[in-house]
Amino acid sequence: MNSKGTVAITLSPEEEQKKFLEEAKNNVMVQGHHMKVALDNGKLMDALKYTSDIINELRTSLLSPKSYYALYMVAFDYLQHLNSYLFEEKHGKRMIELYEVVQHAGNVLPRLYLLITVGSVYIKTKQAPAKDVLKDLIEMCRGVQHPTRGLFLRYYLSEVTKDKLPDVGSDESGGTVFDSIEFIVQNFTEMNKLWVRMQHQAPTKDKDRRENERLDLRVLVGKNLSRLSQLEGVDQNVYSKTVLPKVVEQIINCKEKIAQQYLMEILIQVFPDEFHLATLDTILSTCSQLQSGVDVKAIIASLIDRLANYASRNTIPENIDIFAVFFNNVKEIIQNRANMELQDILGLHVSLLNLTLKCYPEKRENANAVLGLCQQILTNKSKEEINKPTCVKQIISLLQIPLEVFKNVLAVLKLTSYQPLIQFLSYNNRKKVSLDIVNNTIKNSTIIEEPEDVNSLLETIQTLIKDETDQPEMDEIDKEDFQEEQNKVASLIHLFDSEDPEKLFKIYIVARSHFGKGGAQRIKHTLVPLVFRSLKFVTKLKKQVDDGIISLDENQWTLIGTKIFNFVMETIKALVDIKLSELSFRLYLQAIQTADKCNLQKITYDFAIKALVIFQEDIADFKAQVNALTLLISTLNSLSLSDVELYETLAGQTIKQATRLLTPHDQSKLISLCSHLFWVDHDTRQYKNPDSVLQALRRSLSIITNQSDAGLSVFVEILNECIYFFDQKSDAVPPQFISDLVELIRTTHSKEGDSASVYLQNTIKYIATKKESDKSYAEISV
Amino acid sequence: MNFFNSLTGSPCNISFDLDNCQNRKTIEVTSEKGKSEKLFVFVGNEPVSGKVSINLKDKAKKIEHKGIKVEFVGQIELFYDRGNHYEFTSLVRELAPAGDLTESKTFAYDFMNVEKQYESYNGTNVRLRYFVRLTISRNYASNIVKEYDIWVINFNKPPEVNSNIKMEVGIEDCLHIEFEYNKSKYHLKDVIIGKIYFLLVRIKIKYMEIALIKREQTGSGPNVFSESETLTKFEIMDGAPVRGESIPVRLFLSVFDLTPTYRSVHNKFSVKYYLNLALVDEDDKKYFKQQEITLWRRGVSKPIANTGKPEVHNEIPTPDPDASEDDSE
Repeated sequence: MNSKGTVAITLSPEEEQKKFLEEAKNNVMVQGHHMKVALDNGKLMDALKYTSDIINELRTSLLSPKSYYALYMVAFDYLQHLNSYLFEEKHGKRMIELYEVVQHAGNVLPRLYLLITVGSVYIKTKQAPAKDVLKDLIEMCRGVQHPTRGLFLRYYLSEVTKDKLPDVGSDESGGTVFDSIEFIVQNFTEMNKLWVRMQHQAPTKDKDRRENERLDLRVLVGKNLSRLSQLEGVDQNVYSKTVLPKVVEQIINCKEKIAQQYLMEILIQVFPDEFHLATLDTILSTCSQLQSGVDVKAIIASLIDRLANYASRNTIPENIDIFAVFFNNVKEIIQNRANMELQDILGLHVSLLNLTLKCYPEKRENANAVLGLCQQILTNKSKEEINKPTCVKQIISLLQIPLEVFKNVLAVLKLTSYQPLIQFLSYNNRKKVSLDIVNNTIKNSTIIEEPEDVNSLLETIQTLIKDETDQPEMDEIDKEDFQEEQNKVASLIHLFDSEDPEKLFKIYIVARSHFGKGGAQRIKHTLVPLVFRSLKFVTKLKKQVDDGIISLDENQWTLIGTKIFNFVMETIKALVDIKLSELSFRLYLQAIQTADKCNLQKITYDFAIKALVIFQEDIADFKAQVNALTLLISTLNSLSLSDVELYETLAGQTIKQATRLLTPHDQSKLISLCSHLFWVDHDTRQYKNPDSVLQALRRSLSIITNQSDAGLSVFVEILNECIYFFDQKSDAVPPQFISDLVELIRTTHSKEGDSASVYLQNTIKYIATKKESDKSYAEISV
Repeated sequence: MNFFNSLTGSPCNISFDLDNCQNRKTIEVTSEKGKSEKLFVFVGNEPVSGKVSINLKDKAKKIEHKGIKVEFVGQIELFYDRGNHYEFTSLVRELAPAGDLTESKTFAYDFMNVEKQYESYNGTNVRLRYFVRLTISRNYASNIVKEYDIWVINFNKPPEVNSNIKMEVGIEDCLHIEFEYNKSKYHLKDVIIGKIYFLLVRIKIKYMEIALIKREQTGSGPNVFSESETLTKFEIMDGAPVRGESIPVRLFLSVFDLTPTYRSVHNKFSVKYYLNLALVDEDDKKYFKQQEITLWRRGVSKPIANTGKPEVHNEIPTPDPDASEDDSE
């Protein structure tokens, strides 16, 4: 800095700016005052001299763009004052004289500000054709090559001529709209050059500051484009043939990223959508020629978004395939811009996808093309790059958008590039997308009727279906989340449906084969509903056969039914294999009942055997055994199995299992229950074997009697069983047996305070009551 | 118009009166002593005629004289060579033979077809004057002499050849420019139109200006005096251009006090004009190129009044794209 030793305090840059600005402003106002006084006194030449002094303040190099703008605005007001004075023509001078006089000024900046001021009046008074004056002014402005001063000078030129530009409907002799276009474009070009030059003329260390200063000035340059858009004569045709090529030429040739970025954005902003629609090719091919630092993605994305919105409000001319144009250009741009960020590339894909879904909802192949291109690009990218959060976010968007728009997973699955795209994601993200797909399917209750579709869906969400090489350790996975996911997957089964049994069965087979790969943790969630759905399916099928809706003879039905049940059996087997014994056991029971209803005795039997085997081999917990056996007994009891031999085998086996139970209490209890196996009395089946009933009860009693800590409750239960069969008039239990039992209980096992005492009292009360109404009870003594 | 000039000790007042001067243009000239006076302007060979009146201050006193004459003189005065005036033209008319002048008297005189080859000029070191001089010769007292100046201008014929000035100059690997002025010969009310084209710029230019310089050279041999005067500094560019920029020049000459170019006036002096194109860089270093232009005085078909400016726009030359290529060879 200058060595002004007298200034003791160093001012901060801000304070310095303020000081410079204040000084300059003051000078402008003093000179401005003199100018106004001179004009009031009719001394035009003096006024011009003062005006020149005002502009001399604008010759400063000390001000930042912002301060300079503030100063410019003050000066502008005075110039406007002069302008209106000149127009009123009180000075009696011809404009041509004034036009020369002001050119005598020795300094170029004041000279040009004055020339522009006079020139604008010259046009306004129509003493010269507008086009000639404009041409002269713009040519003379070349004298200012200093970026900031030049920009403001030309901005001034643009401001004072804006209402004087020849346009449609204005006097032909002044020029046509093409003269105006020429004028604005030239001003634009020169301003942009100055603006760009600003960057290059700064030392490298000031780069950031310079860039900020330039951003402060960009509006001045962009204003030119607004002016063009405001010309009435610039219609779509003129725009595409005359305006755009020139503007674009400058944007490309300036080879500077800040300018290119801003100008492209402004260009898109100020002109109407219809124009862009008609010139898409030009704009996009321009994008492909921009500097590597330019955020082309933002430009194109904003254009796409605009046109997509436009398309949703208006119909697009049929001869313009917006999508094709964008797609081809974007493809090319990506190819040509080697250093384009992947996230930006992906962002473009998102925009493209949105565009086609908005503009061409029916053309789903477009969406597929976008995904395909994306897939192709990702193939050549590293995992690290793809897995950057910003990129992942975009890929996920690409996958989510079709789901949201189509609201139908089937339509999404038709996009052949959809599934391959998922594969680029990491495990967790694949899972997330798969869940999105599942949720979407469930939410929209999309019924999937074709086996191929089921296959394709399950393949697509395979991350949820089976273990994958890159998945985290099982103990790192949140159990609850995992279960919830699997439950959701499982509930998909309910959406797999078809009127055609053959297809539906095929679907279940497909689902089975996919779920089957899921491993122990998954199949316990997924296979269970599959079993239930299969059973429901076979039940329905049987009903249809019975109702004659589907015509099958007995053999055919047996064949088909067997096939289905074998499938069920095999499916349950998978659960058996992973030691889900109790669950499998219950499923077998379910299958037994269903097979029984379907009148497939062999199958019923087979299932029962399976159930018994699993009971025997795999159910270890004794409480579970009791429960299981209880269920088995009631299941067998409910069957309508007509083959006595088969039935008796099963019944026999069941009793056998009961005798093998761990505690005598349980043995006794269950054996007494087994008595029901021999007294079946319902609509579909009558099977009565009183001897076996009594035998079972006796056996039960004898087991419990031999126990030292027998307890009252088991006896009372046996007593109740006896009463049941007595009530049934089964002849299985003689009255004496009951009397003896009561006696036995009373004498031997009834103890004060036993919790079963009340139960006993109530049972005896029941007998007493019965004795009053039922003659058969007479023989029972209590 | 009368001019009264009281001469101390002079017995009479002498006043000149020129014919045909009711509408004659005048010019204001600052004389040697800093006084400014208005002189009538004569063009070329216009005759100079008129009357001269001698008015006795004291009517009782007669003036004895040896003769009265009037002369028309064209002379060059070099300031460093005082007292030595070079008369290049001198015509004499005897008005009265020796005798006594007893009353005020007016004489008519007439210099027909007097050649006025040079223009009047009022420079730094030299002056060229035309004047009418009345001399009353006396025996015992000093002669009574009275001079009366007129201002002479000569119109030139438009130059037959008037090519433009075009030149490429530069400093290797530093700065190359090509400049072009639309003419080499300009009349005094002319406009210099030109452009400066930047072929190479490797220095940080702050501004560019054109100076109009007048160079007056007097004397000859060892006694040559050269006097340069910058008539104007006209800024034509603010800031630093880049390669490919072309900067317009438009300089109105009418504002300046100019004479035509005088190549050699009676072998005594010359006046020449130069355009000095100067570029100044950020370290205030100057780069310049001087180029002589010839100025000439255009004859007036219209009155010389300051109206009827040339149509400025039409005079702007459109840049010729081929021109620079031709010249770069």
